[in-house]
Amino acid sequence: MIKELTLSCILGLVLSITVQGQNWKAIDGRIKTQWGEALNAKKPLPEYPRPQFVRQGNWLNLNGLWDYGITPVRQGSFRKEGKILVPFAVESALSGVGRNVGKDNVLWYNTSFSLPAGMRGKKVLLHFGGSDWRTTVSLNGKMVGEHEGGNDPFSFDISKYLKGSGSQTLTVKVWDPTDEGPQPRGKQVRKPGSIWYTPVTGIWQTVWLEAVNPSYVEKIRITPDIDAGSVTIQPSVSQKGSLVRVSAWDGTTKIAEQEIAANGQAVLPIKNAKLWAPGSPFLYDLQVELLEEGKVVDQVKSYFAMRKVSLGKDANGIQRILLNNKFVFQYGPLDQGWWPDGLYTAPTTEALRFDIEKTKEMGFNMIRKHIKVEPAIWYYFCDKAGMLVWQDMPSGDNGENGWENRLGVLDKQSDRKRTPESEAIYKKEWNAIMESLHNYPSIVVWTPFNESWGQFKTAEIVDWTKKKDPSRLVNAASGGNFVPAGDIIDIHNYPHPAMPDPAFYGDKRALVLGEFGGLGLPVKNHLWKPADNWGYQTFKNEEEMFGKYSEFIARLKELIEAGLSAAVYTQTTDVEVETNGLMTYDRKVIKFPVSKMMDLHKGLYTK
Amino acid sequence: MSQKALCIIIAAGIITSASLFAFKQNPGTAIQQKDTRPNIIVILADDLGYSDLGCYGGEVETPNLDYLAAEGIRFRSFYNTSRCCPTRASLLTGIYNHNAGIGEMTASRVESGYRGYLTENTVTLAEVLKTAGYRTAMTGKWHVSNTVEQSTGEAQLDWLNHKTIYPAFSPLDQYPTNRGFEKYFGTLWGVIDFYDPFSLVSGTTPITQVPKDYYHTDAINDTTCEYIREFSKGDKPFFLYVAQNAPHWPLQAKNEDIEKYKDTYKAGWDEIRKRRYERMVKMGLIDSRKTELSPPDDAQLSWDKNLDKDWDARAMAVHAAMIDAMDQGIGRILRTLKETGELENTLIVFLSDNGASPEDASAYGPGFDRPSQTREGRKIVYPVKKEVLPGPQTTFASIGRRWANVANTPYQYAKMESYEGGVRTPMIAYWPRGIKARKGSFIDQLGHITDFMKTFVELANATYPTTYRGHRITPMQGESLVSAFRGLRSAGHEALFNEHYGARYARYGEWKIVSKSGRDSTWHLYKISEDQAEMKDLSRMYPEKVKEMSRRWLSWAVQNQVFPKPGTPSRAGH
Repeated sequence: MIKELTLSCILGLVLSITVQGQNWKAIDGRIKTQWGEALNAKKPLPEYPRPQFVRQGNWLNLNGLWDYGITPVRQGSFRKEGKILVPFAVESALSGVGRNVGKDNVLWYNTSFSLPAGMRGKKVLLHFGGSDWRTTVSLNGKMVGEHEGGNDPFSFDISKYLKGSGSQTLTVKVWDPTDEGPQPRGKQVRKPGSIWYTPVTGIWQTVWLEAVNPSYVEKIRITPDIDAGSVTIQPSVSQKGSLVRVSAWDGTTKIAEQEIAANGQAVLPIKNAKLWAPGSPFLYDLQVELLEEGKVVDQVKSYFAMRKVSLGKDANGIQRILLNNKFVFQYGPLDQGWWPDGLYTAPTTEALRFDIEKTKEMGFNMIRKHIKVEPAIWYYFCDKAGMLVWQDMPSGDNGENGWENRLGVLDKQSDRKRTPESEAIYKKEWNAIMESLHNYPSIVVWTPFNESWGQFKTAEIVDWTKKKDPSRLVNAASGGNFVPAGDIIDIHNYPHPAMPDPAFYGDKRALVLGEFGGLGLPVKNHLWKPADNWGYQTFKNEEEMFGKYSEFIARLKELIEAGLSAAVYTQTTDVEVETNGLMTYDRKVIKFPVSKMMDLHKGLYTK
Repeated sequence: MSQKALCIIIAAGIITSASLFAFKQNPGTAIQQKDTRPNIIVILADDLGYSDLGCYGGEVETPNLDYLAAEGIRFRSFYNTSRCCPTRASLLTGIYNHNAGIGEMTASRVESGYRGYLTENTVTLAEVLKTAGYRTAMTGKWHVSNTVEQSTGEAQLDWLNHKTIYPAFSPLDQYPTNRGFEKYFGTLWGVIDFYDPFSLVSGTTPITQVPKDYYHTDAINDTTCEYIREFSKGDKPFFLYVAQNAPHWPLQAKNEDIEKYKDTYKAGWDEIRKRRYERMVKMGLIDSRKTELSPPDDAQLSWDKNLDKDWDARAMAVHAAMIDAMDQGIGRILRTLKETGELENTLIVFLSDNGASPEDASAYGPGFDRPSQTREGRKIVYPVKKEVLPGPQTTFASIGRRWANVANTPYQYAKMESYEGGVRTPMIAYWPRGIKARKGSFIDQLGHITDFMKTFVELANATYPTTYRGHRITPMQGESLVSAFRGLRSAGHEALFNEHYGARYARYGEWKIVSKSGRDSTWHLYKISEDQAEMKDLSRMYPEKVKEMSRRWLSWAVQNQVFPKPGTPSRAGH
């Protein structure tokens, strides 16, 4: 098993930069999670942020209280207005700011750090787990680089901008037009309401420094093949002319090892593989070492799983989603990943894990991660928990195109006419998201579009997605517009379950109910707003709601028999004025009986 | 059973089609002209040191090999690929051994350079020469096929001890007779009891009994004589690959042969080494200004202080006796060639697969390819404390690192390493009709184990195929030795490389970088043209040269299937 990320070994370098935590105070007047209430502002999100690609030791967490200022776009420089707690978005309560920025303004950050002795003379990388949307980074007054994309991690080599000694000044400028630009922005809108939520601007994940040797492993690409009994590892290294040694471990036993040229790929045989699946999420450890002149100059620890997702026909000739060549019904909640106190950012890593653990305890085996991308550590928890993940591309550039949600009917559907720039932004970011998430075995489905939002050139995008990652299924457009592309036909139906007719659609694609339910129950004292709360069908009490839910599950069993491969219940938590969660937004009330849910759901997975 | 039967049929089919081909080549026997192409015999010794033979400075009596050297030519700088299986793979295919699927030994691995058998992208010397109309046969050690092991150690030992019989020692399609040899007598695996060898077959049929007083070196050489007698009756030239098991451990030789050397090695390691070096200088094999005598491998234990003098002197005596017996057998081969009238137009080359072995074979104990008792049930002793003298069937031992160091005089390190002691081999070429170079002369052309394919293709007027049995064939990588035979000057290889279990070298121009196997992968740099014993490491003085040479090595390694390289060492073979 992969080792637990122990805080003690990895926290070593969380630094003095956060000692001014006492100047911070969360914004009042909004509901909070227990983790937000107890937040240690001196060490916000202190964990090593990249558990799938761990380079031991030489890193520095820069999260903490930074200076910030909001200026009109045209104003060229930072002007301090106060303190912000990084990495919480400026609009969030936990940032201590709680202000909107908007497309006419830019958000400035400013902080300073001194380079630990161990990093001097090394190549120093500055990592951002996530920053929405256009991020411009300067160090010691010199521009380092710019990144567009709010959902993919990025980094810069800052070595040449570092001063020889003393304090290093880091300035970050972010511009995010929310729903006034064509960029992927998920559920963020300027005027939140019903199913749309608050804007998130700027840094929303851990910012950190990492020191590496001139030659280092930049990334690896892991692809298992359970039929061949092997796993393929493709490393990318900073300098050619090196060798890479890759080894796979089952606990402390080395089960395979290969040395390859830096531009090569290792195909490690994994004999009698322990397969990864919900209920038995076995992870093999992986070690990647970079060798120069026979010496190890870089070492990365990772992990992988032997699992396969594919399509295959059942006895009735209907396509099913197979996990490790067997049909396993996949059932999960629609998971928005929003927080009342941190918005995009879970207040703590424990909170982040909480949603996954509760989902698992309720007997779901899958999560549909809905038009949001989570921090790397979230996927790591899913890998460890044996939780399947369906990953949506965050939508954006939603517009006037029509949505036809009736399957098999041509009427209202139309493509969103996007500018070449908008299309390029979509492709670049979807590519970057898929790249950054490729190695997580928990992810089994990619979903490029949802309910026609910004939907364009569907077949082209789906084919490209599939080509980029043939190891996973592609769900073209969850809930329509329907296009004969990809591996899945996915309808949304509220509140009761329904499915695409197998007689019409079951021959070529797996049949999925991508959203249903949405049973609403506002819980007093745990509401984002006192009024205007919203659910697809609202109930007076938990018992009544669970009764209705039980009826749905009974019906779901019949649909599975008929050919349904997966279903998604709306949704994990209340979000803002949406009160259709299994839990309240603040995670303090679980509205459904956890162990009864588990018992109820067991019947979905056994024939 | 059905698989075995199938393979025999396939083998028979190949032989038939080859015969048909030959028939078409020579329609009508009346007007048939005598084929003037030379017979070719490759004799490969096993773990023979650079200076073991008399004609390379040794005190072992090798009059027949000395005769071949005196009437032929000797190469000063000829290189194998440092270990049994890799050298055989390169020799047989004419390409670097990883390209032929044998980067390690015979364990089957997924990496293309480490499949443990001669992969489908190769053709063997026998396949090429047979296609060109040669008769082909092999005697002795194959060791280029996947070794089939029994599922338990106990079952494996029963098999090694001749208590049980299984039909296949390797997948049958990997046997010599399915790789171009019409006839084969010998052992598939690498280690044998010389009195009752494991994995002994005729063609593909296991030989389940051997006569009393059987000695495998004699059997190899006498069977070779039989093949010569048979082939000489026909009109076609023949190719014989005689893969001697001598003098590989276990130290086993006939008493009368051991007797000759019973006192020879009482002089001790340093003295014998010194004498060898002096003879090498005197005979003009080495230039003392360019080849110093390297310091002893183990200066800690001097012969005087050695408490096991008797055992050690005896061990080396058995080593010498094994070589002696091989030489006697080669003498019988020469006599047979003479009697059959074939000697004049037969090219004989003789060389070793790697340097002498530093291993302590007794420490391995029984298992994998080492029996625990004889067929009659007598216990075989592995004398880790040198408690039993080597020589008989019931003792399993080796000469060890100090004598190996002597056997490889004047070079450093031994078998498995890429230092000269591991990779430089004696190489004698003899061919009365064809060799025009001065008799008994030394050749400076840089030669390599891959050269035989190109040489034989040229001499046999054969075609090296681009595809064979539907597979694309890797182009040959050797240089021809023919110009050296003709007495013409040729530099040979511009560059040579090697890799085996992490040991590696690159040689280019006057430079060589080399690193040892195991954990210490530091490159050492030598100006090999002036420092052939690798005494002065210049890596600190010329770091740029080390970089350049290591880039050459890496580029070679990447292009020649060294990578992807399996990590954990496999357990197989020697």
